[in-house]
Amino acid sequence: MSRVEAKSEALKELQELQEKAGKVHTLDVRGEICPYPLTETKKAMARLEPGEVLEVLLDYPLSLETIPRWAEGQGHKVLKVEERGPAEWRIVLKKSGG
Amino acid sequence: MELTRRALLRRGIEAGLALGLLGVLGHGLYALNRPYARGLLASAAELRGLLADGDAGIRVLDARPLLQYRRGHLPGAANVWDGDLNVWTDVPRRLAPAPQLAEVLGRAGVSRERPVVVYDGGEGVWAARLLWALRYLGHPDVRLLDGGLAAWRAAGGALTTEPPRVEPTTFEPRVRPELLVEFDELRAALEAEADVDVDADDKPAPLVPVDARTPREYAEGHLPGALPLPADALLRRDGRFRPAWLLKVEAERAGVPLDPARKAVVYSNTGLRAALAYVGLSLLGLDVALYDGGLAEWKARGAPLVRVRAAPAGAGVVEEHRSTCW
Amino acid sequence: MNAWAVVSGLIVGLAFGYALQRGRFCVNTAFRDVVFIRDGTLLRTWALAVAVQLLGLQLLMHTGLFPAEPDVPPLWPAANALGGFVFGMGMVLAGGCASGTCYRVGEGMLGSLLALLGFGLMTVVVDRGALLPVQEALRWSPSSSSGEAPTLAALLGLSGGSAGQLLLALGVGGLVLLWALWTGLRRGVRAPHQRGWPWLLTGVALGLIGLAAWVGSTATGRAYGLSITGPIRSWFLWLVTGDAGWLDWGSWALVGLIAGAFVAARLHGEAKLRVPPPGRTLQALGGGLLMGFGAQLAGGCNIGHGFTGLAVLSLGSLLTTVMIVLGAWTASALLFGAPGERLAALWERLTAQARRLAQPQAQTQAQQEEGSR
Repeated sequence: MSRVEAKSEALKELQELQEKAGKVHTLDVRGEICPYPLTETKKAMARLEPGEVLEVLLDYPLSLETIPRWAEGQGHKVLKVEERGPAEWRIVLKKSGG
Repeated sequence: MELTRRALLRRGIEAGLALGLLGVLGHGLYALNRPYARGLLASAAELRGLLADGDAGIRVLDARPLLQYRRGHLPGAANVWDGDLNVWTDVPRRLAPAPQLAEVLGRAGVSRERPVVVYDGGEGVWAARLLWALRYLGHPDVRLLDGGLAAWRAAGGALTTEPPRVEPTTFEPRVRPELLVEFDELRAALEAEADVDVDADDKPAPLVPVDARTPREYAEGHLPGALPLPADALLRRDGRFRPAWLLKVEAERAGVPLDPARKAVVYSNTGLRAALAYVGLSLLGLDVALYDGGLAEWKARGAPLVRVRAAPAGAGVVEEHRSTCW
Repeated sequence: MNAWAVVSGLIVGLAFGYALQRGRFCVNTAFRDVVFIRDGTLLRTWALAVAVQLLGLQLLMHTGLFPAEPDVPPLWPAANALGGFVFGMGMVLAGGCASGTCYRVGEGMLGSLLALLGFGLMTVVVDRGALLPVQEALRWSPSSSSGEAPTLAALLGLSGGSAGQLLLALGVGGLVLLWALWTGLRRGVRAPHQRGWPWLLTGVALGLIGLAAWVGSTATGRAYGLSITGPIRSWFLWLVTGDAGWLDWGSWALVGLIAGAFVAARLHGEAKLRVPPPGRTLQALGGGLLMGFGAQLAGGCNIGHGFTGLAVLSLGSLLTTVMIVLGAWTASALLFGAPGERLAALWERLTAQARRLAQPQAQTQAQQEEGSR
């Protein structure tokens, strides 16, 4: 799959999600390491309304595990953890409640 | 297909790392438990057992000065002091001629048929010198009491002032010239080595000089090509020899080739610390000879010396590289 | 330096780096997660690794299979305490402890590379450079009458090699091991969304690697196990003086660590050169400098003290480790949240726990009352 295709694929999915959930916010923490991916995610989630969706773009493997672990501990829903490209991932979270 | 190949590669590398780790663990444990070469050392406990048997027929020799010997010695030990074995000419402390040595040893009841255990106060050098002399004279079974009198006492061994019953024997020397290197031989060998073209794929030099003095003495002047192996580095604080694995580490650090096909020639100023190094390297199963003339003779004959201006990289300056963090 | 020191150092280092990367083992994250997201997974990994290594080494020593006298880091109360605290703060800024920073260099994190360079530079500055007076002023040891190495066993009056010493080690190691397994296995070995190794595998693997390091390194004349501060200092000293005598087993293990982390990341599609935002780059460098200062002063980092030194129950290592935790918490609180808020949350949690403990009793009482009615 080429990069362009991957992007359009991701975009399509995003649209689907947006339709389903109403609104998707994006947080780009690529390049950041401990603990910023997590702290930024926490801040972003705090600003969200219940039921809203946040996608986190990151390239830091450790947070790939801690963010879902934290989110589930908080009762948020982890919709998706997926690879977007070489050493780049996307986590999609849905805020609890609503 | 692509995925399974990758997974296979992962498994392979993980298995390789695990095997490598096992290898390091196994090799390390093997190296740490390396035994001494047999027949050189006797521990205090071992000697107590042997002497209690009584039948072993062991002749124990005390290598300390007579006065110290008289104040208390191992039961049955005869005194052979360094001064009776060596002569002082223009060069200090050279092994006396074989007939004179045979007479001294015969008076002490030493024969080649009876095993001998030598000891000193725990300094190691006196006993080591005596051990080397006895081996040079062809005695087949001489051992050194590890740690000397101090270790004997620590093991609960008794001392006595009672003079032993010693029946004089005739000691027939069978000199082993390969254990002693003379000036001319050594100088010729070292010069031959210096002449050899570095690039030539020649056999390595058969004689490897090893300096048993302190790093400072070494820096002030040593034989050409000599490797620094301070005698202090061979003993523990209590005077016993360091375990074999640590002796090996010290020898490697000095650069001594652990190759029985090459001969290490140990020397010090007058051949005392050299004798300790002789025992230390022999404990690793190496072929060792002693240059008895030592630096005293080398200097007196005007042979070339090498000085160290700056500390050589990684050689004999271990204390310089002490760790200040882990 | 013999060839075997290079080979065995590289092998153990490669395995160490591989396990660090797959287990995402970072003590900085471990200590912070406990307080800030109330997740003890990495802490359990660390505890498990420490316990496995401690038990393994002490058993090897007491069975006589490991006949060497291990190097016990000295106890310098002031240097251990201040150094540990500064190191703890530095690693929060740098975004990783010594081992975490090294394995992230292998993953391709350029911010971590900068932190590592700052770390190494500072070890030399404190050890032989402009800041040497600080080290000399703070590195004093309390006088010891027995002359024994400053270990927990010596503090309790148990002499080396005695059965009491073995019992103490077994007791401490066993308790830590039981705690890690007890709290961990209840929560399950594998978390959802886990790409790396589960905590149980990482902990046991790291413990065994630490043990192999003790044995392999000692056999080359370096009577210590894994460490990072000493080796990185040795590379900088070699670069500066050209004296290869500085390089030892540990230096090669450090090279192996970074290479092993790279191999692991590469094999799992996690290796890529990554640049942090500009401000964060400076922060990483500053953190690295603080880490180097603290670790050199204390005589070790979260590996030399917080992992390997604990295997011989060194008092200096225990003190340094505690201070690293306190430093990390302080810096995290200052950087990532109102400290008061966190404390309040902690208090609430503790009281909630107490209430929960008290509740079942009340319930059963209520039930009994209901039944009697």
